[in-house]
Amino acid sequence: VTVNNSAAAADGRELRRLDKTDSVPKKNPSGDAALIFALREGTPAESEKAFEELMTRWQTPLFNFFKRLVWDYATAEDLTQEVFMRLYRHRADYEPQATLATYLFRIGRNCWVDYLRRMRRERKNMSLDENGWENHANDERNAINGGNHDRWRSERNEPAAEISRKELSESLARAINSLSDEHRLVFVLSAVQGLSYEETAAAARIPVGTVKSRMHHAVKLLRKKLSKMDDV
Amino acid sequence: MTFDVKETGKMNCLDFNDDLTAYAQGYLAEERTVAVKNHLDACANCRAELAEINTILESAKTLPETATPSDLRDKVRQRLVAGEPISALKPTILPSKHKHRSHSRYWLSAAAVVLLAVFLTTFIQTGPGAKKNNKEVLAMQLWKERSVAPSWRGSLNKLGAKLEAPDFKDLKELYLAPHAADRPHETCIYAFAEEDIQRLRKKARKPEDKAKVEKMLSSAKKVTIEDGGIFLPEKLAGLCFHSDFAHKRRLAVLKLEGRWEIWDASTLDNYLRTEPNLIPVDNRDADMK
Repeated sequence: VTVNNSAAAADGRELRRLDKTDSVPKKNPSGDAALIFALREGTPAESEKAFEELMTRWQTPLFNFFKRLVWDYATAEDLTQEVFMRLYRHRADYEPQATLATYLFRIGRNCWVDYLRRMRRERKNMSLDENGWENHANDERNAINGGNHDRWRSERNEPAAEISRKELSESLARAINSLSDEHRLVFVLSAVQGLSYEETAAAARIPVGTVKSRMHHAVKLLRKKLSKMDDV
Repeated sequence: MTFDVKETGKMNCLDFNDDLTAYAQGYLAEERTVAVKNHLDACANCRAELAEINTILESAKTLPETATPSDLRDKVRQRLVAGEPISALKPTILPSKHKHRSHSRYWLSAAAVVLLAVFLTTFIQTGPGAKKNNKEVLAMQLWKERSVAPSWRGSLNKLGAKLEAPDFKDLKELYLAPHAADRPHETCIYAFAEEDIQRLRKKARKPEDKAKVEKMLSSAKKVTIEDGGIFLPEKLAGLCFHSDFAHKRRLAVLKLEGRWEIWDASTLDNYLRTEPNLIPVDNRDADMK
């Protein structure tokens, strides 16, 4: 999996190269391996310390992963906790050939699938109610605006490019939420969390070819959604 | 039949369109990357499309992250210490493909889980039609039945070691007694709590049953659940392990990661329901031989 960066640069197009150092969650794969080893094989004190460190490292990527999937703060928090509980209880099951990112997001995917099943049983329809949408939209807006609750006031002193970027982020967040579950999962893993196609495939338990095709369709759908938002 | 230039151009675009996202992300094979690049050099439409794709991908990469709740780690610890099951999530139904795991991988990765929770008078039957060559399916079936009639009978032949008790809630002491002395081939142990003694006496109506119960009670040993486990008296080590608690208090003995553990059954129930990698396995036949 390579890309000809020099050709891309010469072409004037900005190609994004994704590799181990580029992706958000894989901060330090070797450090992760040491922590997992300590978690599994260390003394109780070492194991505790490693678990604490792993939670510190991974809570933000996992929480934001769930936030993009479930569109709800409390649920994202609950699912993040569940990933760590499963990691701890199944620490002996970790397969060293998989990166910790893959392993954690695969657990995350399982938690999310369980959550969807439960929700679908409870509410036949997974459509977001008006309040849920509005609350999250506000939450999203606040996050984008750095916690400023008054979006319009904050815009007054900002350059147009910055406003445009924030608007795009906000629109994209909404558009991602409108994707189907399967497309949203792949897009969030690959484009937002920065996992490679192979890692995304392993985490989502689908073939690499399916990742490629779902990414293509997800981006296509997002382009359509965003252009419609622009029209509005 | 011939295509005019415009039509041919469209065909070319369609050929490359599916690859643009992977190209933008850098995940196309080298040969294909060159082909797409060559097409892009000649096609303004696809260049514009690629620019849009890049905008979306870049924007996705820089979506703002929300800070995690400050007490998230504390909550995880609290839930683990409390032995809390994984939230209120419903059972994960194993897809059929998971049933094709090799047994060696299964034993290594998921560990063997044996569930035992038995009432005095009712033992579940597996049924003559049960497929013994497919233990996973059999176990799931038993598990399903158990939810209807929460009765299990199991066996344990590796006593002597400490049984871990991750979550016994308010149960601090257990009575353990050899049972079925009239069936020497099957040395059983009954486990019950103090509050169950009166119930056991009450249940035995026939004189011979009363005598049997009294004999069992007189030989019972009280063991304390301390430091998260129980040391079973060597004398009681045997093939079978039964529990006989009042309803709502069921005992589950399981082998988890190579270690025998004794759990409050309702805790285990929830745990198994939410853990896709754990499959309850009924290996009574193997243990009872």
